Amino acid sequence: MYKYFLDIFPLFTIPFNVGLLFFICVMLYKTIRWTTEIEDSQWKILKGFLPQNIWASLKECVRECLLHLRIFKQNFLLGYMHTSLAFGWFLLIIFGNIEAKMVRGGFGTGMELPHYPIFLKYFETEGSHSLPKTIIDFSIKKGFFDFMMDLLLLIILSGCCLAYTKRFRSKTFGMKRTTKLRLGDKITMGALWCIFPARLIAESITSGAYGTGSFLTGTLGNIFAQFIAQENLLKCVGPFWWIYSCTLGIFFIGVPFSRYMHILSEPVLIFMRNAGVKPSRKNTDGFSQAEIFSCSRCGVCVNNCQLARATEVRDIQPTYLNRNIRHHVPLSQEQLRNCLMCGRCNETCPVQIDSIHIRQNERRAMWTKHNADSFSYLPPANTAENADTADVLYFGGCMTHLTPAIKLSMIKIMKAAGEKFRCLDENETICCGRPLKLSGQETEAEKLMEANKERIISSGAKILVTSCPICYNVFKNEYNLPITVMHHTEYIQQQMASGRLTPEKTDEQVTYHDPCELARGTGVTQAPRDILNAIAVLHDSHKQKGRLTLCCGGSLGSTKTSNEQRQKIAKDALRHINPEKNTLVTACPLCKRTFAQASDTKVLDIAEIVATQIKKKD
Amino acid sequence: MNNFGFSINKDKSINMDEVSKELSNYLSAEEPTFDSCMSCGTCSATCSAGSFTKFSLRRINLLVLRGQLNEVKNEIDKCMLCGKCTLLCPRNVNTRGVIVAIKQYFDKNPLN
Amino acid sequence: MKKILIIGGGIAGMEAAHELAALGHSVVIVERKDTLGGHVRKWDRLFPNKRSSEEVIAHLLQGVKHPLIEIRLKRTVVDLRRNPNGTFLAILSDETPITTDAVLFCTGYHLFDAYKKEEYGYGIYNNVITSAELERMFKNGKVLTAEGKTPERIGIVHCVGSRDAKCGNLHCSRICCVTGVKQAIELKELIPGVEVFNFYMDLRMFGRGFEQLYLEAQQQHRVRFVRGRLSEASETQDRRIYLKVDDTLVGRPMKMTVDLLVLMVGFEPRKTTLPLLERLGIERNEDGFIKVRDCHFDENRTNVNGIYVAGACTSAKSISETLTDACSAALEIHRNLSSKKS
Repeated sequence: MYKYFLDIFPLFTIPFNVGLLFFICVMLYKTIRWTTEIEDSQWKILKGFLPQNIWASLKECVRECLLHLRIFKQNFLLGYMHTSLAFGWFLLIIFGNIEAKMVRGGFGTGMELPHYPIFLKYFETEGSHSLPKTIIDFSIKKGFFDFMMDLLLLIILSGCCLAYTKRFRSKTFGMKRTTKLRLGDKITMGALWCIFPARLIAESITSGAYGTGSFLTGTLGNIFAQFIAQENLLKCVGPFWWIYSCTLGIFFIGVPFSRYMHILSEPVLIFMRNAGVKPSRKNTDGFSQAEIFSCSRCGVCVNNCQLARATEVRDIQPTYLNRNIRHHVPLSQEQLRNCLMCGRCNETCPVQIDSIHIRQNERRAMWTKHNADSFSYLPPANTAENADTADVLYFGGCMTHLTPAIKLSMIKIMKAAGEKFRCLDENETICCGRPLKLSGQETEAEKLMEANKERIISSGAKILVTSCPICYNVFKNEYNLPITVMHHTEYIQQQMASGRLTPEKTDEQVTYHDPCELARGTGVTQAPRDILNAIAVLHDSHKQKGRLTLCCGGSLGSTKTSNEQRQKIAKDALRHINPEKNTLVTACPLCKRTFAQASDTKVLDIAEIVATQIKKKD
Repeated sequence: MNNFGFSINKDKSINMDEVSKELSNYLSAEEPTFDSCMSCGTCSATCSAGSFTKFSLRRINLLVLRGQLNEVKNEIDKCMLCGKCTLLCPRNVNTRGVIVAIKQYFDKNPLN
Repeated sequence: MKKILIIGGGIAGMEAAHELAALGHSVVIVERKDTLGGHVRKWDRLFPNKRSSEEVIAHLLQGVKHPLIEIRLKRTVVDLRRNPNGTFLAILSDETPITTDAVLFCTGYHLFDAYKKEEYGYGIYNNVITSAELERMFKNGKVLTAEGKTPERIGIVHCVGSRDAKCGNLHCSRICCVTGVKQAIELKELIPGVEVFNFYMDLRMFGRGFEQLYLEAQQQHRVRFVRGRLSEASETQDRRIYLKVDDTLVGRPMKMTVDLLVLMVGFEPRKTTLPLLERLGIERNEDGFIKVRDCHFDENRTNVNGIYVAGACTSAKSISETLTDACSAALEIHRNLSSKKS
């Protein structure tokens, strides 16, 4: 009886089975916790089970958890590494199970123990005499499976080799940086690195001892058999299967304590996202937790972060932020505040984690006290001065006071378009509130927003035009204004399209820089290009544009970045954006000032170049 | 204490032997650029909040150095964090960082 | 007889040429403009004694009328190499080669480009001018606004492009303080009843007679000094300039409208000489000015043997300091060349 038990349940499988059991328990526990701990409506979880949402989730799981298509888009080698490991392993399990079924006499023979397909080579040689002969040409199929299993193993091993290379020589991948590891990561990663080499050796020795195996394990087995006597090889079989089982066991147990937790979390996150669950204002929320645990610390954000690229700030990127939140390590002031909040990390994250939202939640939590009277000094909106109602209300924004050329150009443009307009902040400005909001002091920011809203609405204008993309973003997305909000690029483009504004074309060579708040924040990328194509010669071949645009470094999202760091970022950005040294055109007073300080070529706002091209008609 | 029938006005001078250096030391560590302020006043005249109130970062710098924490606390919340001063400061003081650091200080160390 | 090449025919180059010729050396001055005199030509009257700049230039021109001095105008040095025997070969823009025993850089400075301070509105508002443009007006004998009116109130802003990390210039240009005071007095003398406000951070009256000039401005001309650096300028409907400045001593922001705003632009290291400096490996300071071997004992030699410096190419200097420096450089060259056997 005991011997029979050992036949189907050899002792060496214990580490694997224990690991797998632990892994499944953690998976169930975490899934239940996250889905029940969302602050958003619980009903949304049920919505995730709607057929179209399930289908979308499955599709995304295959595309992202197995094939890693987004990483492929970022970096081919990195993509191949992830795909070979994840998809390769997945196929190995599928083929292993099918092969096991074949060996056991086809489908419909009941459940197998989970370790059976994994250690098939071990069992198969033991019980090869009992191979059923019922299936036609089984041997051919058997050969096919052996071949497939060896091929998959080879692919996975190639992925492993890339992983080793990446860890020790990240430059091979065109990556400047790779993530720093914790102890749990190191152990689990060590186990993962060993799993497939261990499997290769275990299978090869078994093949060598019994004369089985395909092109990889068989060949390697034959080589072993050349040098080692068969009885010695047979003695080696057991220990090497033990090593293989142990590496698997350590890996499975290590997963919840390491970055490989993303293997469990990502499908849950994808499911919740497709169910329409929205993140809450706290990072303890189930959705944010799933996001934080889904961070695989792949380092794509580190590689894309301009602070990491241009300065020495290399411990604040989302990968470290999420890691510290997950492991309850208190965040440093640097990690909280030295982030430009430009959103480039979100744009490139292969798991699409909203790290900006997560950091904003942490920033909000920095403040325990709120002063509701901070801005009680603001005067009430003066409704009397609005006797002559204008159609367009122009809000330059704080920064535009320091770039008078933009303001004067806009006034010239609006006059040329025959607009009835009024300047809202000619003398004094009330800040739009976004900078304060980004610092986490949202309660206080609300007061500024209320004051501005009151002024805007009481003006009676139909359109609000602003020159500052920071203001534009918050006016458009958070003020809920009853009037149209436009950035001046949109306004100018509209005026040109309707023929009210007819600037002449110049042969000036220009390059356009997308301000992050405009391109990523509000998706305005086409209007400025339409304008520039119509009035100048636009060079638009650089890659860092649109939603992938680089921050100029001047961002108000950070309160910790020094001027020196900002200048380094600006110079680095200029190298990418404007290597031809054309006139640099942007659409944000902050970008203009930051770049003007760093650039040795002319930097203009789009309004300036339009205004100079408006010639007086005789 | 004997009552002499008259009182002496409270001393208006700043007694540098007694004032608290805590905030000043904290800021030197947290935002060292604040130490390079030369009181030129560029920040105060450009200040968005300064067009409505007496708020002046230049003055706050001096108040911190003179240990006048109560006055600093009363003033500091008026800042809108708009960042005009950061763009103009000729000594590269990270003015927004200073404001957030001071606010954080009072958030963690409320004055009695 | 030794031959010395002087790059730059400003006052430093002229004075050094005169001294070297007097010491018996042959000198070539290469000047890129069509006249000698450099920046000083732009100036009308000079501090501290309001002497005409033409008087100074005439004096120096007299000095360079010497058989040993050869002047090459409208030319630049396009290439400069050290020969194995320690002499230098210079190629001028007209392709003439010159072999010399020593080279003296008197390349001077650039005036700060006020366009870089957009918040002051230079180049945007017509009534914002630089100190150099005001001198041109003085030369023409009248100071008027862009609209041709006589200004009633004028603002003078000190430290424009100096002591400003945002412009990349941490250094003090030294002479703008006294220039601002001098120009205020001249404005008062030229336009009866005009109000003049000087906006300063510190008034650095370091030279002989400077403090007296400051006192004269206060006592005789009632020039008003406001301790505060201009933050922003904007234009009013009637083309006047509206200023926002912190009156730091009162402790409150000050708002004021002026008819004319004068920016005291500072000294910047000359960028056009960079290729030459780099080719020869001549070191520069962090601020970009040419580095001298020792700030006390060796102010006229660079790190490269045979390359000497004089005048404002090493730091901002007044005219008297520049002339002294040029004499000192001439003596240094003379001493070094005489000790070498030819």
